[in-house]
Amino acid sequence: MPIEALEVRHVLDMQFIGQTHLLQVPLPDASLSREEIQEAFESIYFDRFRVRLSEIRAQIVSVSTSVIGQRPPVDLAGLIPPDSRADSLAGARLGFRSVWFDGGWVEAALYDREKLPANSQLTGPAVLEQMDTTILIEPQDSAHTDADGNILIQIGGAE
Amino acid sequence: MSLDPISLSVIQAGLQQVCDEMDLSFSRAAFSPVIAEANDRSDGIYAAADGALIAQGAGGLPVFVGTMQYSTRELIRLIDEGEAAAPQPGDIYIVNDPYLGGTHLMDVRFVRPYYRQGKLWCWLSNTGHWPDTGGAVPGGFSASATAVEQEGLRLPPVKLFKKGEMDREIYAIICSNIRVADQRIGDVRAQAAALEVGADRLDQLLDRYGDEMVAEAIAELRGRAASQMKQLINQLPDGCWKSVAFVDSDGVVNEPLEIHLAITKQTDRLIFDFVGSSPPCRGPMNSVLATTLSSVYLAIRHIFPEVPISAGAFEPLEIIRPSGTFLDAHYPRPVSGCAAEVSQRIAEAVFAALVQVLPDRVTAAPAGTSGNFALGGHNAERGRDFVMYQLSGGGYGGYADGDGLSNGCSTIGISKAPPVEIMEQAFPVLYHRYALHEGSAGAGRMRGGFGLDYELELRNGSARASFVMDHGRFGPQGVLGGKDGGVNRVVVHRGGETYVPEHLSKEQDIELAPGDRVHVATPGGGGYGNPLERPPQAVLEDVRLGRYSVAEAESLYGVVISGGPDTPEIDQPATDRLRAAQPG
Repeated sequence: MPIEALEVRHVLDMQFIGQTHLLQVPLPDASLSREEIQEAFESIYFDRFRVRLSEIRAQIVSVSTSVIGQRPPVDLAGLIPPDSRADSLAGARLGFRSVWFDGGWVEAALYDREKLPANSQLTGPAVLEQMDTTILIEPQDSAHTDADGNILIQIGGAE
Repeated sequence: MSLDPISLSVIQAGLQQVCDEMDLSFSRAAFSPVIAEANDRSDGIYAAADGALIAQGAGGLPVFVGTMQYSTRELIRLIDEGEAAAPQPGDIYIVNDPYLGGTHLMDVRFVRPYYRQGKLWCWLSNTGHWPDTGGAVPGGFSASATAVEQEGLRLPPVKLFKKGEMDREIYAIICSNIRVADQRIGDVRAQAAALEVGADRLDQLLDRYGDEMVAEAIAELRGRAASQMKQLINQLPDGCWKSVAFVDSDGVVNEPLEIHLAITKQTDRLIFDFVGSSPPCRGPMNSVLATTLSSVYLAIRHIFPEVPISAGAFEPLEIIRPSGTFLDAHYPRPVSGCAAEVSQRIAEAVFAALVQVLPDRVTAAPAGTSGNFALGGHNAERGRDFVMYQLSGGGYGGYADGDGLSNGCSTIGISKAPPVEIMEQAFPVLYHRYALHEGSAGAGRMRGGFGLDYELELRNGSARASFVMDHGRFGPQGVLGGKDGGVNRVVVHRGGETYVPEHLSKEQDIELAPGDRVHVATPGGGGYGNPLERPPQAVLEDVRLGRYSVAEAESLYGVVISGGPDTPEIDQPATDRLRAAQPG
């Protein structure tokens, strides 16, 4: 993918003399005066630590410049091979399983999460299996799958 | 309950986050390595009415878990009695009085009232270990003080900040009574600012979820912690378990101090009785009540880490006040060893009692000393005075499923040892060695961890060295047939002579000149189970890595190793014979 823009960042690592930890101070450009640097450090320091230390001198520990090439955003949906998804919910279904909810057994549909089609609507109870976890959709809850592979679960009682 | 579990969990994490941010701000903004690098500090949120612990930063020093709720409670009492000034928004009290819910004088607490709509809603408090608060020796760890006045400046709760402004007059009094005062302002600002950061974050949390909902969550979390702890206790069989732990000496009288503990389980409560422990001592190894209580809490927290920290977790623990013993010292008993050393012996007593009934949860005794080494003097090259602290790790106890960790932090701490490079930059010292304390791990089926072994040299100027450590006389206890860990050793090489402190682990004011060296080896952890049951392969591995000698493998484990230093191997027939010949 082509580089659309270049970004140049100048950052100072600074501290008050006597400290061991550093604070990063981004600079708007590379030609600031001593006073401007002092002001930038003190203002960032105050934002982070809620304190001004006028009694103590500041020092620069290191200076760095980063040049970053910006590329166009990646469409995450493109990372999912289209043929890995089933055409319908039924195609992603692995079967049914009895699950104990609130004092009774309920038949819940069992799905292969990787195969769920985009933009489909599920109602609980359902069990979504994937390689590294299992997602339980409780009765009363519903779920929606989006193009990027997210599952948005709506809790039954939630507003 | 109107709170749903997700909101409860989010608010719990939110309160935790407020405390963690206070911890982090404090360390990152601090100047003293003891706070900035060793993290000897803690931050928390406490109930408005009684100071009960609501939440505490995960990165805080564990021994402060219990103590800050007692110091906040004492402050509330003093305000009610008119002995301390009533709070106003923007105020910060400073207090380090050990007898008012404290530890030692160097642990300086800041307490800030937090308001919502003009009403006191809770207290934010933090403790930071100041490198010096005056007294007989730099660093405050006077090993031979006989009264608290010799240990440093004692502050009752006074407002160091009034309506957001620091009181320069109080600050001037403090600065006139402590060493290297010119370097203190940065830490004071950092400690106060951490509470400001906490107030900001708490504002955001309350604005988002509403004061009532957060208050409800706090009450719910406290109740849940209490019932979770009760359930865990309930699973133990009824009974009473006893233990004894020893402090080397009090630093003045060279006799061991004894902690006798009997823990009784009654349905869903544990009762802790220290009857029979030594009386208050002359030297600084006395503990104040808040530190004693906190030590029991932190030991229980080591055993049941799944119970979140809040006042509720401690409700099922009943600690009978150990009146008349050195675990409940009153003014003017010296106390500088209580937070760092006696606390760990108390925890060791709790472990040694409960390992009998919870062998799968409790370890053999850990090194159990903070290894405080303070060096104070004059840096001739830079033309200024300095106070340096070295806190050290030691070996942990072996446990049912594994060997103890080597060079782990103290039982009561989460302090990191400051990096050697930082120490050499900040102070006129050179480290010649920084290694594992070979041979120190207590032998066992699961062995203890190894302690630390370091040696440093004073480079220029002059300095006085003080040590407050422990386990120099008796190693950390092994359990269930395991052996004790190796003892703590202090050796000073000065002017061509070798000097070992009379009290072994405690001494103050040893004069050092450039070229003199201090050599410290910290204790190893106790072993767990019979060492003869340790797989010979595991013993060989330690020998191969140089942690045990061939002779130790044989005498401690009955494992005979042949093949020379480069290719050590197990002599199985000789090992079988040796192990068969030893009693069980």
